[in-house]
Amino acid sequence: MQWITNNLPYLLAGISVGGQYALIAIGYTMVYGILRLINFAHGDIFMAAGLIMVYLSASLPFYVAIPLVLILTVLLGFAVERVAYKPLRKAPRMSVMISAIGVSYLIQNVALYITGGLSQMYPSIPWLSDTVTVLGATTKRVTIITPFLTIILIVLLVQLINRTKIGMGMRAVSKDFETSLLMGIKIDNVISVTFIIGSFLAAVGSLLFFTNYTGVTPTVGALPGIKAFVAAVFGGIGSVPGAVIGAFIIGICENIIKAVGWTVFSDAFTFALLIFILIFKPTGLFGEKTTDKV
Amino acid sequence: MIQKKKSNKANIIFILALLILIFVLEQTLPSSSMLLTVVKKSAIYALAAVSMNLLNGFTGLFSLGQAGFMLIGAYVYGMLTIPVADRAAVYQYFDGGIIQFSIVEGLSGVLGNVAGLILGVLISLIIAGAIAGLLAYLVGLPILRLRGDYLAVATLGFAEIIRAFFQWEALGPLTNGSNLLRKFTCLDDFNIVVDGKVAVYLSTTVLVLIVAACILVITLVINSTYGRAFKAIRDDETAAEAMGINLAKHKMMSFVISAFFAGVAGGLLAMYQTTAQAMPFKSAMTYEILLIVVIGGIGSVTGSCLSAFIFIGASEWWLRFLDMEKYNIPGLNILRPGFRKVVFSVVIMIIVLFFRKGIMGENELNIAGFGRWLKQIFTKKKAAVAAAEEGKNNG
Amino acid sequence: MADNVLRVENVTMQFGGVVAVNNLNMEINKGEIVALIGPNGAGKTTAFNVITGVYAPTNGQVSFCGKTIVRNHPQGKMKKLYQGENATRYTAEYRPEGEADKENPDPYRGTAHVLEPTPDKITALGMARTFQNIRLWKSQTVFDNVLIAKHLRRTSNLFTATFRGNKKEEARQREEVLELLKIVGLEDVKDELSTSLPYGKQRRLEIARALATDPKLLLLDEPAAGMNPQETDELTSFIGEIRDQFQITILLIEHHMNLVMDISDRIYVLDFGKLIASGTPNEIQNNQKVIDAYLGVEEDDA
Repeated sequence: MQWITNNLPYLLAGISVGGQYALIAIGYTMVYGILRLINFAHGDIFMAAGLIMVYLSASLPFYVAIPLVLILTVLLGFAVERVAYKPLRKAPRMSVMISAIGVSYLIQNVALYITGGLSQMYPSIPWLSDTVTVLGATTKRVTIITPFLTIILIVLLVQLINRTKIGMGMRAVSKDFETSLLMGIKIDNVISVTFIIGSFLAAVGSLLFFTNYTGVTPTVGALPGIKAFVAAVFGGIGSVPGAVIGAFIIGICENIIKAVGWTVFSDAFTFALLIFILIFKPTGLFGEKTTDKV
Repeated sequence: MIQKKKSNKANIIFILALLILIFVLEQTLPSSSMLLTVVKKSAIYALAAVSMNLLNGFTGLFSLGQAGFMLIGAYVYGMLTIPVADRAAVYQYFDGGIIQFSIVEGLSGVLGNVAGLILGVLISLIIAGAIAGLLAYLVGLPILRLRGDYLAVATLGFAEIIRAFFQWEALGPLTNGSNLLRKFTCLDDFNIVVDGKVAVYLSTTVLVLIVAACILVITLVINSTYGRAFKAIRDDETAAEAMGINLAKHKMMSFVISAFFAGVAGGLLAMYQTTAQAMPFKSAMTYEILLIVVIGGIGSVTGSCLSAFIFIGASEWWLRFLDMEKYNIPGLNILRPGFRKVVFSVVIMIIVLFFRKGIMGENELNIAGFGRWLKQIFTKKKAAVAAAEEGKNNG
Repeated sequence: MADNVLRVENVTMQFGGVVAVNNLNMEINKGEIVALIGPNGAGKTTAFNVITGVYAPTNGQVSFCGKTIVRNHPQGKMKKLYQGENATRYTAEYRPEGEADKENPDPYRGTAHVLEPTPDKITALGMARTFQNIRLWKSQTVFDNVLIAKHLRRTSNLFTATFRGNKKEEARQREEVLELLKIVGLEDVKDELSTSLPYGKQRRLEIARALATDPKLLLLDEPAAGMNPQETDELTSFIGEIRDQFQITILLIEHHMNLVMDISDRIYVLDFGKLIASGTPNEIQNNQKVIDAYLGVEEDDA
C-alpha cells in the first residue's frame, strides 16, 4: 500500500498518458486495418491539433475554440487522406508509406515555419487543468478525467462499429478490401469516416495530453505517435480494444520505469516492446493471422 | 556485348573526369565555398542513399534503420582515431575513456605520417562499417522474416534503441555518453600543408574518391549473380525460393552489406562534420535518405547519386533565399526561416504523388547512352533544318 | 526401387478445420510423365506445395530419389483438430511392420523426426516447378529470368562474385542459358522484358527457367492454362521433347483432358482432397468414380 502511495503520481500519470496514447492508437489501428497503411502522419495531426488550439485560444473563448479545434483537425485528417493517400490506392504499399512519411515531413515543416521553432505554450483550459488531490497525491484534474473519457469514447466507437451501417462497412473493408468494393460498399466513404474518427480522437487526445505536458513543438507528435503505434501493434493491429489495452500498458510501464529511475530508457522500452512482440507474436494480443495463397 | 564494354569505358572516363574537375575546383575555390560544401555533403548522402537503395530498391526490403547504422559507423570511426594525447580532454567526464589508442597514430608511428594517415583512415572506416554490419546481422536474425511494413517499423525501432544506447551515460567510457566526440582524424587532415599554409587541398577529392570506390563496389554486387538474386527476391520471393534462392540467407546478405556501407557513410559524415553526436541520427535522417532514394528512382544507383546532389544542393544552397526576409516582395511577407523546408516538403510530395518513378525510374544513367541521345537530337535537328530548306527551295 | 523418383506417402494437408489433401499416396518413376487431375479445388496445387516444401504437411512423408525430404505429424493444436488417417504413423509410437518395410528402408520410421525444408533446399536436390499463376520476375529480361535460376548452382561466394573472380562460371552459365532458350524457342526475344511476352511464351519461359535449375523432376502446374487448342497441341509435343532431351521425369497438374490423355503414362485423380482413382489414361477414362466426380452424380428418380 505504501508503495502505491509513494508512486501514485507515476501510476496516475501512467494511466492518464495511457489513455491519451489510446486515443491516438485507435487512429493508427483503424487505418491500418482498412488500408494496411501505417499512417506516419497521424502523430503530426495530433501535434497540429495542439498548435491549432494554441493559436485559436489566443483570440477566441474556449467554448468556441475547443469545438473548432476538433472540426479543423478532422478536416486536416480528411484532407490528408484525400490528397496524399487516395491517389496511391492502387500503388505498391511502399509508395503509400513513403507518401505518409512525406506528409509527416510536410506537417512538421509547416509547423516549424509558423512557430519559428519556438515551443508554444498550450493554454490552460479551466477545470481540466485545475489541481486536485487523490489519495494524498496532487495532480491535475485532467489526469483523472482521461481514463474515464477514453473509455466512454471507446465504448461509443465500438457501438458505432458493431451497430451502424458504416461500421459494418468498416468491418467488411478491413476483412477484404476487394470483395467489399465488388459488393458495392462505398469505399471512399468508409475510408473517409475512418480518418475522420481517427483524427477526432487524436484531437481529443491532444486536448488532454497538452493540458498535462504543455510545450507544443513541431516534433512533439513523433514520439507519442510511435508509442501509440506500438500500442496498436501490441494489441493486434486492426483491433480497437487491443490498441487501447496496449496503450494503457505502455503508458503505465513507461512511468513505472521512470519511477524506478531509468528515465533514459523509458522511451527505448517502447521500442524493445515493439521488437519483442514482432518477433514472438507479430499478430499482437488480439490480432488475426493471414496466410498467403501460393 | 561490345556496346556494354564501350559504355563501361565511357562511364569510367566520365567518373575520372569528374574527379579531376573536383580536384581543380578544390584548389581554385575558397574552402568555405558553398559548392564544395554541397559536393562533400551530397557525396556522403549519395553513399547512404545507394546503400539504402540496395536494400529497399534492389532487394525489396523496406528498412528504416539507416540512421542507426550510420550512427554506429560515425562513433566507431571517431572512437578509433582520436589521438591518444587528446583523449583525456574529449572524454573529460569519463577519465579519458577506455580506448587508449588511435589507429591512425599507431600506423603513422610504423609507416610514416602519409601512409599512416591513409591506411589508418581506411582501416578505421572498414572497421566502422564492419561493426555496423555485425549489428545488422544480429538485428536481422529475428526480424528479416517480417512482412513489409512490420520490417520497416522494427528497423525504425532498432535504430531508436541504438540511439538511446549511444546516449547512455553508463557507456560513457566508450562513447562519451551524451557529450560530443571530437578531435578525431578529419577530412582536412588530408590537405598537404607546407610551412603552415595549405599547399594542396585534398579534403573534397579524397572524400569523393572513397565514396566513388564504395559505390563502385555496391554496383559490382548489384550486377553480380547475387545482385540478380536480390532483384528476384524483390520481384517475387515465392518464385525466387522455388528456383533455389535461400531467402533468409540472401536477405541477410543484402541487409549486412547495406548496413556496412551505411556505417562507412556514417564514418565519412563524422570526418566531414569533425564531431560526432548521437542526437542528429534520428529517424528524420533516415527519412531524408529515403526521400533521396525515391526522388532518384528506387532501383537506380545513378539516380540516387544525382538525387543526392540535387536534394542537398536545394536544401543547403539553392533554396536558401526562401529563408531570407530581404527577398520578400513588398507586402507579401512569406519568406523567413523555415519557408525553405516547407517549399521543399511540398516539392517532395509532388514527386511522391505524381512522379513515383523518380528521376531515373529503374534505369541507370549511361554516359554513352546520354551521348547517343544528344547526338540523335542534333541529327534530327539537322534533318529537320535540311527538310525545311528543301521545302523552301521547292516551294 | 532405384527407378523411383518421387514417393508421396500418406500426405494429409489440413488448414485449420479444412482438409485440403487427404491421405495422398503417389509414386513416380524415372522417365514417366504422370498427371494429377481433378475438379477445381480438389487439392492438386496444395499437393504440389507440400511436395516442393512451400507447406509442411499436417501428416505424412515425401521421398525424392529414395531419400526422405519432407516429413511431419500432427503437433500442438493440430493434434486435436486432425481429421485424417495415419495419425501416429510418422511419430515415435509407430512400430514398423515386418517384411514390407525391408523393401523401403526409411531411417526415420518409428521416430518423431520432422523434416520441414524450405523450398530452395528441395529445388537444390533436383526438383523444380512452375506456377498456376505465372510468377516471372517482371523487371528482368527473358534471359535474366533464366539466368537467375542458375544462381543456385554457383560455386562462387559473395566476394568472388563481386570482384569478378567467377568470370568463367558466369560465362559458362550464360552459354547454358542461351542453349536453353534456343531449345524452347525463345532465343529471339531473349533481351525483351519478360512481361512483354505473349501469354503462351511466358509459360514456356517459366518452364525454361525451371529447367535451368538442372532438375531430375519437373512439376508443371497447369502449363496449358489459358491456351487455345493449337497452342495446347504444341505444348503437348513440347513436354514430350523435354522429357526425352533432358532425361527428366514430369509430374503435371492439368485440366485440358486432350493434353493429359495424350501425354501421360499414368494419371492420379483427386476429388475433395482424396485420391479416387489412379492408372493409365485408358483406365481413368472408363472409371466411373472419375466420371461422377467431373460430371456430378445423377439424382435418383423418386
